[in-house]
Amino acid sequence: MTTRTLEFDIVIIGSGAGGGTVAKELAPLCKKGAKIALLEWGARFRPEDNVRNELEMADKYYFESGGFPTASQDLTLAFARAVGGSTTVYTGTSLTAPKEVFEKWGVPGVTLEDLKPRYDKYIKENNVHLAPRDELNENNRLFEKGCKSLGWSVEQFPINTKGCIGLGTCNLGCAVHAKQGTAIAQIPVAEKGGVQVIPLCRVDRISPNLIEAQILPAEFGLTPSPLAPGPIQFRAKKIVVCGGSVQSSALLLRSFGDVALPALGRYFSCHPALILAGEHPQPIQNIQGHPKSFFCDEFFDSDRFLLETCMYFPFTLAKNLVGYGEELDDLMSNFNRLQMILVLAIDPALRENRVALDRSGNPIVHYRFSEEVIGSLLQAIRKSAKIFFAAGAARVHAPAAGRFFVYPNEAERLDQIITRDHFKLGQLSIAAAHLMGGCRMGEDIETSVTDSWGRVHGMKDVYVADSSLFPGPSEVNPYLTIMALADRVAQGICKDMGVNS
Amino acid sequence: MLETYFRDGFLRFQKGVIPRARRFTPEQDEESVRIVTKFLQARPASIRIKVIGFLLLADLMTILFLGQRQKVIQFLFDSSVPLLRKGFWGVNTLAKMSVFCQTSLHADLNYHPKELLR
Repeated sequence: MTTRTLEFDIVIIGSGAGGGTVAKELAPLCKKGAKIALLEWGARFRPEDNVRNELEMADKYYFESGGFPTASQDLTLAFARAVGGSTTVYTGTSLTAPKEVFEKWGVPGVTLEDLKPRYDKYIKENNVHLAPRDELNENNRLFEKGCKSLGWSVEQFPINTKGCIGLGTCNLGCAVHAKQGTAIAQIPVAEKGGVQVIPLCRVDRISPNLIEAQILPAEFGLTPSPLAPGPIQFRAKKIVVCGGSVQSSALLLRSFGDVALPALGRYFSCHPALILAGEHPQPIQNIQGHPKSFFCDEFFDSDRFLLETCMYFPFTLAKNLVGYGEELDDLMSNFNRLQMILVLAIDPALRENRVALDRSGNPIVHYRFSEEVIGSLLQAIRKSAKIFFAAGAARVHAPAAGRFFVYPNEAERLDQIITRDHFKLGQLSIAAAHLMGGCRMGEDIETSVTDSWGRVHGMKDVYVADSSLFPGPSEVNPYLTIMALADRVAQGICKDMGVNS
Repeated sequence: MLETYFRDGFLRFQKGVIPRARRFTPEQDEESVRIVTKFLQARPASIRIKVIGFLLLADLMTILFLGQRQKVIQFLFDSSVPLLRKGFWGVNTLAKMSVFCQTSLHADLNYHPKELLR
């Protein structure tokens, strides 16, 4: 059978914060005669595809149901496949990275000054705003109360929703499409401008102007691709890889290896995170309303962690509780009394933390927890427990406490209760959703994969535009920074093609 | 034979780590098995073999510990051998999945998500 071959001027691989942005920014070129395709591994989701069932939606949206294990199996990674990529399953918290982040990255031209107007564009496009206080639920307000009573800084997250009805299931995709991810805000504009979106298209390999892919059959009753399932090739003058940190690194490794690009797949970081739960004596309003309204960065400089409000679902919570037995069951029975906090460590981008390939060519992530990161997580657990108690919790489940519950009368002894001895990798549920690095920008080919415009070193026509570009952690929720960088990459592509952006 | 062992071995483990599962009706047991079986069928055979191997280890150790399953569970949960801890975490997570993904239990958990009327 002859493999179908389609011809385009530009093919964008991946439709998340990076790919969706590049598609929208390059769409005006279609009016000048350019043919542009946006390929996406996952399906296009209609509101009615979202049944809000935890397991079913995890299977539909996420790679490995949201629990992609690292090689050492002490960390799981969450990343999605869908038109809109992981912007379909985030909570829509919209922060810009501070200038210090870009100073640490040290990439010429990639400065807050350069990115600020780009950030501003997407803040406006995505309807980023502060939710009115009367829409904030008790889970969030108790976090604010706890932080304030301890004298710690607490700030409200700007979010990018429009028409949110407070279903509280953002991480299972939005059933009313209220989050202004790329599937809602940018990709429809790109399509209107002439970009052809091809869902259920898994790219296996690229060479400088050729893409080898498979059109996949639709699963779970989702809408099939407009193209028939089977192998397919795309010829393109320019290829933009936007599959996210893990898949972009893996695709480039499969396609080009790491001999000419020794940094490919390396310097991976992910803001490893833990979920804590505090139980209040009385029911609280927790699962209805936006789940993530506040964050605390009081200890960001001293201990390198952030605390955020969160609210998850029964299995996700149970999975993150350390242990088993009566106490776990008891806590789970009181879901309507639970307050939750997500702690995120700001982990450095270490060369040895990397995306590689297994024997079948699939991605495998090697990640080692440094003692500094473990120290950050321990401090974050202790401080979170204090917030719960300050907010009135009757008992707290804190990982690394060596027992299931910690009580208010122990609040002053948390340093002795939550200890390094009890922090056992493989026993705690540590997960990450901010996956960064692997195709980092820079000038030195030994330590970077692309130049400061996202063009892969040594290649004229291959670009990267996603979180894999990050030379180090964004230190805040990353999606707006991905969009700002993708906007810069799109500008660079226009420049390389000799057209005005 | 392996499938029968998996079913029984898994339910023994599940009831050892999640007490509410000891009160499950036969229908709820079947739903537990259906959930994990479906999950594992979508994974490589090597994962299924590891899960069965771990369940077998837990059963053999329970015999060695004179039937004291809770002591075995605690030993595996808190083992100084990382491989055993990770194995326990994986199978314990499957047990949690088999219970807490049953939406019929949501009322017992006091979990009442906002309904969406389309």
